[in-house]
Amino acid sequence: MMTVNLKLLDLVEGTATNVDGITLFTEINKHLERGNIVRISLKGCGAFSSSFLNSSFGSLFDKYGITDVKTKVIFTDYLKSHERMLRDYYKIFAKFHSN
Amino acid sequence: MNLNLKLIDTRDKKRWIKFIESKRVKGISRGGQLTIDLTSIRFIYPFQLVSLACLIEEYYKQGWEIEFSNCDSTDVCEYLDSISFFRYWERNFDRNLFRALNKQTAFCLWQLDSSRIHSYLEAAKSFFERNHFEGRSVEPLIICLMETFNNIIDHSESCVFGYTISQFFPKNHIIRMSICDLGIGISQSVNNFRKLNNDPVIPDDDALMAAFQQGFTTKSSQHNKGFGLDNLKSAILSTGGSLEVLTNQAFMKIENNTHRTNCSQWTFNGTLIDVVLDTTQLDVKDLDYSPEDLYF
Repeated sequence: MMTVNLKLLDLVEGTATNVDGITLFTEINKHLERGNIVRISLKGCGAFSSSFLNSSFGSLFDKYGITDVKTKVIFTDYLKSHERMLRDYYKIFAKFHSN
Repeated sequence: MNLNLKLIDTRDKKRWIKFIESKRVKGISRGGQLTIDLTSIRFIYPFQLVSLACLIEEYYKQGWEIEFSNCDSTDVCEYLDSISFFRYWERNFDRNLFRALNKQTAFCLWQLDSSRIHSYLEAAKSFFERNHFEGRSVEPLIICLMETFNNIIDHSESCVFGYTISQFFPKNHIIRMSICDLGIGISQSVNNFRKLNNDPVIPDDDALMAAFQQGFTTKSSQHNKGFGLDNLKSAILSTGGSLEVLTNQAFMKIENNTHRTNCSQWTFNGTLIDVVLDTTQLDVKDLDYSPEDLYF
């Protein structure tokens, strides 16, 4: 098992749309399928839309379960606002789509 | 065929939308010249602009040429000119240049284009943070724009893709963001979903209220999870702002975390969302990236 470092803004144009969310999902999924851990740098990112989060992390939660994703997807270079948004999303997802 | 559309001078949102709905293309032949008569207009709000733009676009798509006349108020004329409103329906007008002068308080009128969302959001953020809110973050506005854009793309089934404009009112310390589409409407979308699930149709105001509940989704797309409108509401309330929605027969206002809804006797076939953000509550811009690993 190795840790793969990704920079979010190298992968997507922004964090507003489903298209970007799907792109991120595809990239992370590729590494998780190989049994790796993924560390994502959020440097330079703005706010996340719910569509972006649903199509990226929401889809990962659907596929692997939220508990598994929590241990295998790590964030770095983040702002307080990123942390708040992601924490809220993980919490809300667990509330409505617990597995 | 020539059609003269004399605008009414009102700040009453319901009255204005009723007027817009009464002038929809329905049953009118294709082609001709539509003249927008501005005689009585003394002030124009963002919610009026976006809904009027949707109406004009509906005619434009049916092959009508658009003209403007009798703009008697210098202030209104200068304002509309500054946001390129008079030129928006000219054949060679580039709608994706996002024109906005530094001294302006309005960030340009824009017809939603899913391929240009990032560019628009970046331009809007840069415009407001550079010209009006130096050192502070307009993140709540960006969240409002993102969530309403995605809501239109996913659910509206609109014949006219949405129009939006955001304007800063310095004396009141608020930003008003309005967005309008001529789709099926939020309440209708909720009731269509209920019908599919063999649930009884509910009144439009109840349906609209349901759409704003966290976790409620009509599953228009696979990725919908019912967080978008709740996220919109949270972003607005975080600044002590307010939200008004007019759709189908429903009207809803959210302010200070209280919801007020009612129904009208007439139907608006579309959705108008009007957001007010209190700019005194905008956070200081955070540039302090943490290098620590973040787990949940």
